[in-house]
Amino acid sequence: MTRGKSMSLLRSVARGFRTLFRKEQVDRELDEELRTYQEMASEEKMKQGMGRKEAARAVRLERGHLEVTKEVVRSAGWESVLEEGGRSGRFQLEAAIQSVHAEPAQTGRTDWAAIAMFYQQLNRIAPTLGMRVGYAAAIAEAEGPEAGLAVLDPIASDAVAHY
Amino acid sequence: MGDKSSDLVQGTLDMLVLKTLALEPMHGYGISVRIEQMSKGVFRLNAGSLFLAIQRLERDGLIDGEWKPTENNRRAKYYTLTQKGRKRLDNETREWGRQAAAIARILEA
Repeated sequence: MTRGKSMSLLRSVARGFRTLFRKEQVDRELDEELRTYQEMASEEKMKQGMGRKEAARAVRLERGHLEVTKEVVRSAGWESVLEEGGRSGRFQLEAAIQSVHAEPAQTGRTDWAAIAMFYQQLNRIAPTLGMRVGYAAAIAEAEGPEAGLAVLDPIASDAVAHY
Repeated sequence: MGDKSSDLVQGTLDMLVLKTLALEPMHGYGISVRIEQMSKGVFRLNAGSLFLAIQRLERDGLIDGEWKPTENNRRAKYYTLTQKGRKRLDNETREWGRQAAAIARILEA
């Protein structure tokens, strides 16, 4: 994938996620919350006579590094959305696919790679034949018909006999 | 969670956070200080474990977060126990008592 193409994929994916989870606002709030937490803990140490730097180091040692904490909390929130496997996870992903589909109204093009990625997640938590065909169609649009057919190949023929 | 408190039984941190908030609304740092004080220093919470628990409880509707000014004119997110949270705390406290008594009986046998 070219750099331009992968950047635009990233942007589409980011846009889809934002629509879903107000991710940015949640991140900003988590940042502020953790920073305040650390400042409060540092001030407590400074009241006991430590200098600012020493206090910050002690807090890091006792309670964990701020950036690591942020990553841990953030990724757990994100995984729980994808892995809850229940209806909301599924509907949120379906909404994400719709939001990318609706995008050509603004940009004049559909980002099939982004749609394929959402379908892939959807297949993971709610695998149905319909999802798989949707995924194959998106892959075919993004990477060519051969790649799309390869997604359909593993489906057993008796699974589709009654269609 | 730090080394000291890594022995906390899975799920009990959530119960301790609920218990802390049953006393009064508190921000993250307040919760960890209160738990440390109430446990007389046996539990020292690492920020990651604490905020994971907070995130989980808020997502499940057991606590509610609201940004408010602190006494030092900072902004902090204060958490309150919801009706659902209070019910969960009552149930878990009862269940904990039952299990702890059962374990004690086994260990004393």
